[in-house]
Amino acid sequence: MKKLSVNRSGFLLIVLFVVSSALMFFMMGLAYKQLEKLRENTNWMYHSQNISLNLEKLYANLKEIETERRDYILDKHFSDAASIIKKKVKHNDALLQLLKLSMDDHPGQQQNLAILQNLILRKYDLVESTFGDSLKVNATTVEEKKTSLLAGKYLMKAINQKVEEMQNIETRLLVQRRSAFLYSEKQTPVYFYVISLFTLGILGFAFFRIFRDFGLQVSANRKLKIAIETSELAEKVGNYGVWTFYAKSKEYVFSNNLLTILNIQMDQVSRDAMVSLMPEEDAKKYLTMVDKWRNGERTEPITLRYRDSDGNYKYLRTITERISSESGEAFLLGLTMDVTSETLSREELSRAYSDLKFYNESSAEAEKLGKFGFLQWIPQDKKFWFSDNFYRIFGMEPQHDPHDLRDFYSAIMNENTAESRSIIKKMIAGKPVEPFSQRIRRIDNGAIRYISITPKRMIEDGKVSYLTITKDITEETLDKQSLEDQNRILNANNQELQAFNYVASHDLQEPLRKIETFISRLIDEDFDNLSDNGKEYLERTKSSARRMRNLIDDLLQFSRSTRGENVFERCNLNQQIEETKDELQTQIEQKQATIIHGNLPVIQGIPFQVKQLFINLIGNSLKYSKADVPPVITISSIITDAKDEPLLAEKNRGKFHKIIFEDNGIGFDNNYSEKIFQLFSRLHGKNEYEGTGIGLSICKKIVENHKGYIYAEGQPEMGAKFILFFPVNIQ
Amino acid sequence: MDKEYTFIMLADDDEDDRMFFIDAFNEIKISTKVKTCQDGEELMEYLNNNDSVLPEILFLDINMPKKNGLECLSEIKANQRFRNIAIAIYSTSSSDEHVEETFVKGANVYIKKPNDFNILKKVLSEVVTVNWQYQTSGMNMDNFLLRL
Repeated sequence: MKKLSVNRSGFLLIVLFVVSSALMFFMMGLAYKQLEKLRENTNWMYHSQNISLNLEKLYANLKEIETERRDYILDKHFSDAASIIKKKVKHNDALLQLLKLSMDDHPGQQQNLAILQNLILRKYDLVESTFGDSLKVNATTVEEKKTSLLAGKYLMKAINQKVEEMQNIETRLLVQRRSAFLYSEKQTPVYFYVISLFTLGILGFAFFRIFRDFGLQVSANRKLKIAIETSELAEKVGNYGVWTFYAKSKEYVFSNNLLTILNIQMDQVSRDAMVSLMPEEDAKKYLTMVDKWRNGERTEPITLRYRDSDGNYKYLRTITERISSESGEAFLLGLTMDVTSETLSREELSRAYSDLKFYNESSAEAEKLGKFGFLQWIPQDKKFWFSDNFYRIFGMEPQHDPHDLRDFYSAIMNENTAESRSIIKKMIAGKPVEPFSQRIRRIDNGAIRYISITPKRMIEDGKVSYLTITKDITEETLDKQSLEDQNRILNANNQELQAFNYVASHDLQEPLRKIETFISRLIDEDFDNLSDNGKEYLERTKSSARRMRNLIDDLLQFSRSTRGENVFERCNLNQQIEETKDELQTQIEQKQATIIHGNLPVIQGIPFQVKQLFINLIGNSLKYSKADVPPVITISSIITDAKDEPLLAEKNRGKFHKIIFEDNGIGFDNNYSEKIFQLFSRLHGKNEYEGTGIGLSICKKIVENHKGYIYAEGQPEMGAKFILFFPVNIQ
Repeated sequence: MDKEYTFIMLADDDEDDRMFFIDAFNEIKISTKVKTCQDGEELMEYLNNNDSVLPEILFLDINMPKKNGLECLSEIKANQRFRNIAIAIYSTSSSDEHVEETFVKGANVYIKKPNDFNILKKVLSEVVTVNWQYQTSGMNMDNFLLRL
C-alpha cells in the first residue's frame, strides 16, 4: 500500500488557508479603507455642497435683503419688509454659523468667511441705515437713493465676488478631493479583482487538494476494506487464524477465524483455558511460548496438539513475528494454522509408504517363488522397467540401471525370432497383444526354458503401456508333456484293449452261435436217438454254451459302454424305462413282476447306455427276487443338492438327480455294497443264480460316463436298493 | 402274394449260416425259393445280370469279403431296377452303428442272427409274410430292428 502523504498535504493546506485568510483580511482591509474613503468623499461632497448651498442661500438672502431695501428705497415695498429682512438676517446668522463650523479645517476659507462676514455686517449697516430713517421715506433724495443703491450694488458685488471666490475654492477643493477619490476608486476594483482571483485560485487549489485527499482517503479506505475482507477470506480458505499481541497494553486480538478454529469464544480465552485443552507435553511447550510473547519476543514455528470443547482433535501450527508499526509501537503478529488434515495425511502417507515397501518386498519374494517376473514398457517413451525376477528368468542378475529389451534378445531362439519380431512390432504400434508361450535359451547357461508371456495393454496419460507378466513354466510344461505322452500311450493301450475286447466278443459270438444252433438242431432232430448219458452230455453242453453266450454278451456290452466318444443327447428316462420293460417283457411276465416308477426326469445322456443300465438293474431285481414273492420294483427320483447327500459330500458340488431302484428281492449283505460293482465279482455261485459278474460293473461304467455316481444298499432277505446320482448340469 | 412262391436271396459268407438258412426255409410252411451267394461281389454280379430273376426279399449279411453288405446295400438302393427288392440285413452284429447305417441306407429291416434254430424259423417266416411294399411309409428306427 502506498504511503499516504496526508501529513504533507495537511501542512500545505494550512499554509494555503493562512495565505488565503491573509489575503482575505487584506482585501477586507482594502474594502474598509475604500469604504472609508467613499464615506469621506461623500462627506466632503456633502460638506462642499452644504457650504455651496449655504453660501448660495446666504447670497440669496442678501440679495433679497438688498431687493427689499431697494424696493424700500424705490417705494415698491411690502409693509412686512422689515420682518422679512429680520427673518433673513436670522437665517443668515444661522447660515454663517454653519459655514463657520464647516470651514473650520480650512484657514483660507475661514479668512474668506471673516471677510464675508464683514461685508455682510456692512450690508446690515447699510440696511439699517436705510431702514433707520423709515419715517423719512420721502426725505431721501434721488441722489441719496442712487448712492444708497449704488453702495448696495457695490456691496452686493463685493459679496458676490467673495461668495464666488469661496465657492470656487470649495469647488476646487471638491474637485481635488474627487479626483483623488476617483483615482483610488479606479484602482481599488482592480486590486479587488486581482486579489479575488488569486484568492479564488488559492481556494480552488486548496479545494482541489482537499478533494483529492478525500478521494485518496476513500480509495484507501476501500482498499483497506478489501484487504481486510481478503485477509479474512484467506484465513478461512487457508484454515488459519491471525492474532496480534500488543506488548504495551498486553492485549491479545484474535481474528474471527482463529476463534472458529479454536472453537472458543473470545471471552473464554485465557492461558489456563488453552492449557487445559492440550495434552501435557504440548501444554508445557505452549506455556514457554506464552512467556516469550509476553516479552514481545517471537517464537519458532511449532505444531501442537489441541482438543477443542467439542472433543475434536486438531494439530495447530503457530508462527510468530515481531512487527514495528510506523508509529513506533511494536506488536507481535501470530499465525495459527489448522494443520490437522496435513498432519494426518502425512501420517497416512508414511503408513502407506511402509505398506508399499512391505508390499514391494513381498512382491519380490512372491515373484521369486512363483517364478514370474514383470516387464513394463512404454513404447512411446522408449522406457523399460524390469522386475528383479524378470532378469533371473532369463538367467541374468537383477540390475537396476535402465535396460533395454535388446539385452534379452540373445535368449530368443531361432524358431521364435519371427514371432517375437512381429509381437514387438505390434507393441511398438500400441496394438493389443495376445498371451503366448515360447522356448528361450537362458543367457547364463544356455538351458532351454519354457516361458509364458501375458501382456496387458494399458493406457495411461494417453500413452500405451504394456505390463507383461513373464512366467517360467518349464516344470509345468515338461510335466504336462510327460503326462501327455503317458496319456497317449495309455490311450493307445486302451484303444487296443477295447478293440481287442470288442473284436474278441464279436468274433467269439460267431462260433458260439453255431455251437448253439447245432446243439438246438441236434436236440430237435436226434435227441431221442441219444443214450441217457448222451442226453445229459448234450444238456450240459447246451448250458455251458449258454453261459459262454452270456459272458460274451456281457463282455460285448461292457466294451460298448467304454469305447467311443460320449455324445450326450436329450434322454427321457421315463421313455427308457418303458423300453426296458419292453425288452424284459418275457421275464416280467414270467415272474409276474410289477414295476412302478414315478415321474423320472429328462437328462442329458447316452440313450443306449442308459437303457443298458436300466436293463441290468431291473434285470437283476427280477433275477434276484424271492422265490415265492412276485418282485415289486420301485423307481423314484428327486432333485437333491450334493451338500445334502452324505454319499456325495466331498466329491462334488451342485444339484443331482437322485434315482432310486428299490426291490423286494433277496437283498445282499451290505458289507459287499462296493464289491458287487467290481468286474467279475459275484455273491452267488453259478449254480444258484446265473450271472457273469459283469452287469453291475457295466452299470457303474455307464453312470460314470454320465459323470454320476452309483451306490448299493441292501439287507439279506430285505431287498436291495440302488441309488444313482446324475448331475443336473453335465458340463 | 399271388405267385406260387416267394423268391428269396441270401448273401452270406458263412457256410453254416447258409445251411441254416436253407434248412429253415425248408421247414417253414411258406412256399419259397431260396438262392444264396457267398459274397457281395457274387451277389451284385447276379443282380446286375439282366437275365436274372430278381428276388423279392434279399437277406444281406454285413461282414463279407470282397464287397460287404453295406456297399451292396448302397449299390442296390442306387439302382432303380432293384427298387422292388425288400432288403433285410441279416447279421451277427447288432451294433448301433450298423443298425443306424443300414437304416439310413434304406434297408427295410435289421435281423440279428438268432442262436436258436427254432427262433430262426420264426424270424424268417415273419419277415417273409410281411408285405414289404406297403411297409415303406411309416418306417422308423423303432420298427427297424426286428424284435420278437
